[in-house]
Amino acid sequence: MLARLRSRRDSASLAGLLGPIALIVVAVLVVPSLASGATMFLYELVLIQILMATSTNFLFGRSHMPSLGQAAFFGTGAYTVALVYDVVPIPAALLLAIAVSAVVAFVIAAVSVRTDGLVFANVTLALGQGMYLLAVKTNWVGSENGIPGISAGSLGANGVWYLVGGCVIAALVVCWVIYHSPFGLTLYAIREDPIRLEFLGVNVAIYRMVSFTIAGAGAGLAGGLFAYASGIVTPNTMYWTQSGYPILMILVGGMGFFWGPAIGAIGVTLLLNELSGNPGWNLIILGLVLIGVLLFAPRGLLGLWVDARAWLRRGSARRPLPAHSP
Amino acid sequence: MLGSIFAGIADGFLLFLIASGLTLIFGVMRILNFSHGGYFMLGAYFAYQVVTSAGFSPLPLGFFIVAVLIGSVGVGAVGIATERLLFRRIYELSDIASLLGTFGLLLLIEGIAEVIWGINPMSVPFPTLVDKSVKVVGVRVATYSIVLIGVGILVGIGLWYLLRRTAFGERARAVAEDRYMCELVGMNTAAVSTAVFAIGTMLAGLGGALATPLVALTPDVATAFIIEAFAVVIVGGLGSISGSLIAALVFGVVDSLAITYVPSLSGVSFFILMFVVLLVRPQGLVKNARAFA
Amino acid sequence: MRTHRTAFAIAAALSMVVAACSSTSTDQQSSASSEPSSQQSASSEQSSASGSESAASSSEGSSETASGEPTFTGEPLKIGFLDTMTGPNGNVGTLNLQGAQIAVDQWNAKGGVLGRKIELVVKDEELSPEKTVQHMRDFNSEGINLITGFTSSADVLAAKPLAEQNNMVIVTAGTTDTSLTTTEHSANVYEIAANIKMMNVAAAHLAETDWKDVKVWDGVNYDYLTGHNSWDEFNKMIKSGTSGSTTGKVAFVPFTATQMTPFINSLLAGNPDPKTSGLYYFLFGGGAVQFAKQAMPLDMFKDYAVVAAVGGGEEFSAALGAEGPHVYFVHDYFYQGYDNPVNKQFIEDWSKLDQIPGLSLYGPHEWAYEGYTAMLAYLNAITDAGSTDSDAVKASLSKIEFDSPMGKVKFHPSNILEAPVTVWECQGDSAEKFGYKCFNTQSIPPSITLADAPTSF
Repeated sequence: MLARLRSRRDSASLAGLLGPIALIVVAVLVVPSLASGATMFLYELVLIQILMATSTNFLFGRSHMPSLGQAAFFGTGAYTVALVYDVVPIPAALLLAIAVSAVVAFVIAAVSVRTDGLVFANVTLALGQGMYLLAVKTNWVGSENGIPGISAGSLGANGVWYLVGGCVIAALVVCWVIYHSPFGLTLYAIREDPIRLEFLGVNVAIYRMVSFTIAGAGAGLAGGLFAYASGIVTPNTMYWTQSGYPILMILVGGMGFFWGPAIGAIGVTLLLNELSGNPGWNLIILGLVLIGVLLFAPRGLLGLWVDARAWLRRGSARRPLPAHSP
Repeated sequence: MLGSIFAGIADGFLLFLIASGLTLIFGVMRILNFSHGGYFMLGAYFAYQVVTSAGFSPLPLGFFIVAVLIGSVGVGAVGIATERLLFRRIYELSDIASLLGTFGLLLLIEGIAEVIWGINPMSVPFPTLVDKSVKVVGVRVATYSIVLIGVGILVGIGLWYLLRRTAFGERARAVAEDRYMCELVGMNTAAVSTAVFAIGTMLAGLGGALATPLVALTPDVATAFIIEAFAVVIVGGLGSISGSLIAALVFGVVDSLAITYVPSLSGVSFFILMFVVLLVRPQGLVKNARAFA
Repeated sequence: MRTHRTAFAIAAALSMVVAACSSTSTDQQSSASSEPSSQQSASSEQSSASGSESAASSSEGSSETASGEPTFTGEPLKIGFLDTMTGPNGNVGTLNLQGAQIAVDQWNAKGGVLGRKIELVVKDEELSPEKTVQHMRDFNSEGINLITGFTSSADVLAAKPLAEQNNMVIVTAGTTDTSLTTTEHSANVYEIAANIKMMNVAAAHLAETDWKDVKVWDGVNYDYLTGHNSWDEFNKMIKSGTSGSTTGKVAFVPFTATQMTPFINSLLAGNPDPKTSGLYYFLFGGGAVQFAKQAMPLDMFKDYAVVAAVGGGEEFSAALGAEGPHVYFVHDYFYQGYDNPVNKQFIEDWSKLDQIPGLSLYGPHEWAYEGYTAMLAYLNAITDAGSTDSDAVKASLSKIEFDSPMGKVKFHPSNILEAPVTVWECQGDSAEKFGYKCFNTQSIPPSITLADAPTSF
């Protein structure tokens, strides 16, 4: 299988995986000596959002499933950990978070995968909000106050950092493998032309459901890690704007590239943090960024980067990349 | 129970004002305009600004009507500006991209409103002559609800007349049916798009302005009604005005009755309704939704 | 590409211009400086307290030079202020901060505390428990162990584990959740504002006395855990009372509801009697105003002899203006009700400040009182303890008695302030400057409201 991967275009080469992973590993090792407290939490958020955005990109970059309900799975993972953190060890809690989110995602996929495009977006939005309302109204998950005091046992602040870093790195590797596997490429083909793929004998609906489940599982892991990092889980984790941020990150970074969402996640999380003290202006700037990216950089920052490099190498013809924009 | 039904119908007509603009814009431009709620909010703030700057107390009905008109026309102007500057570019993008672009616009509009008017809830009193209640069939109904129903009916008739009996309406329906063909025939589809967008946003602004005495006005209002409006449009059938009217009324009445008899379902009833309809009839309530039926 | 750029530039420029032409003054008051920016040491901001010559302040042992200018020794003493400064409930935090700042300025004018200048480090809780946790971690790493503020009970519950882990002290200004004195009690958390149980006891007490003509109480609450618990509690108290009253219809309104008419109709369906029906009105913020606005055309308020707005205040009447109904507010403080030097000085210092835009008040709001008294608690405790060490301050907080605008107060063993619940009346009046007037204050003492609060943990 690795040989087959190596023979694809350079974006699928191992260098495309190991290079960025190495960078992340270095960052994870270095940060504890540079930051602590709220700054470390901010970087944990960045890592978590990298995972969240990358899994969500299975739905945007690899399938044509514009889901506005990913927050529901993020929240499910977070609440799962919040409910079991004091009775099971951390690895079990995280696995449980992944499993529960995957199951919920599968169920929702079964219902919503019949629809497409805008209606699909609306249905997932409504389902996500429905789960949010459910969390708010249910007493045994703390209703609107949520569940505070989540502790990672004997892991100190640095321990939690390594936990988040390690899990995110592992998950990214798994995502990368799936993304470039035959399954992932079939998804891509489905995105481009689902009708043709149906005629080729591919069961498009099943592929979509699996894709949705994978995205949900990734979001669930991100949510579980969030529970340990933030120490508290509230229904806010399921609110529809939480579905919007990963989408923004995917757009800003570039949805046609595996690492696009990661770049977007870093940029947007840090930007949002900078803006948080400025009511009104934070919305204006976010809106302008979103519109700006859509109009002038539809292939995202990575797309701009690729174009810039091609432009610098003027001589070589620009490789005709398939539609990498939304 | 009758009281709840009346209240539900009034609420439904308010929703219809928002949803009709949304579905109109979708029909002609194939964009589901996420920022529509922003225009609703702007209509409310414009009307609020006019009323407060004049400082009448109590608020005469005639002046309130003027404020509402200024509000909706003002929003129409903003609509034309944004259509020219922004939406023209967004048409060419895919449907996801246009959805996201309009979402960006919503953030922008909300942010600007927050910077200008702040987050404190603003309040507009009920105008005179419509600030009390009347007894209809033995039930106390707020006069203002009757106003909303009246305006909604007028708008419905007006839209029907515009689309079915005027030359402009014919052009709009043609563009909704097949834009490409219209361009081939030499029609100025860009002008039609702009005009339709202006009407759609004016309707949203009208809804917002009319809602001001009922709500505590904050920038949040942009998103408060929009999810319901989307549900109405989808259930009614994308592009169908009569569909959105029926859906809006059904939603309004069902939600109202749910609150009275099954309070735990409040706020959730329309989700449930939406799923039921979508499972049974995914293309929406009204058949042949494309041609502004 | 060029047209894109032009369009973008125009759009950006337009939005800048629109934003720059901001702050259209929206009411009769002079446009005030709005919410204080976070992270700024608050002492420089508002025009205030040079009323330092009065004998009212309860500070002790501060030094003054002969010329009257205080001198400070050592590092400024930082106290953390974490509250809701933005968003729909931003007024609460803003007024809490106003009150706290008055206390800080009063004490700084007399040489600070322990000879050090007092500084508030302000952060916005943004009604977000996650952000609150982050801010608490920040405070901890900045070495600030004494925190005040807090509007949202959810946020203080989120902050509590951190306060306990890092031995920080919290004195909340605005939170009203009863659980902090019972199941969620913590040795590190103290509360100033009257909690919901105290307010319910006060309301039930008046139901037996002034309001004994009311035989049936209807209710309207927000549809959340606290709303349901509060109604259950009030219900029990009414039914076990001696006046033979009972409860009738109740509506639970979701926070996100825009259409209140169905809820109003469900209350009216019970045919309330203007002589014998009462309304327990436990809504706050925008929803309270919205409900009232939609109820007024239907003359709902006229169908009730008594409307008891628990936890409400003048902001409600200010928003509704001259058409506003006659209501009884049941809350912790009303400025008209207390005639002592501390309160007089507090009112005087408050009146030198600018009004918050959109909120026209005749005297200090209870939220300002809460912030003020929370600071007084800290400053007196620090003085008594002789240090800012958390354990020492906690020990002092639990034992001292100090002067507040409502008289001498101390903390109950359950860590809530033993202070009165105040009940006063307001109604719309077009003849008044701000369109409403308030009168008839009553004070329900803690001996009644805290009668069966738990004393051991």
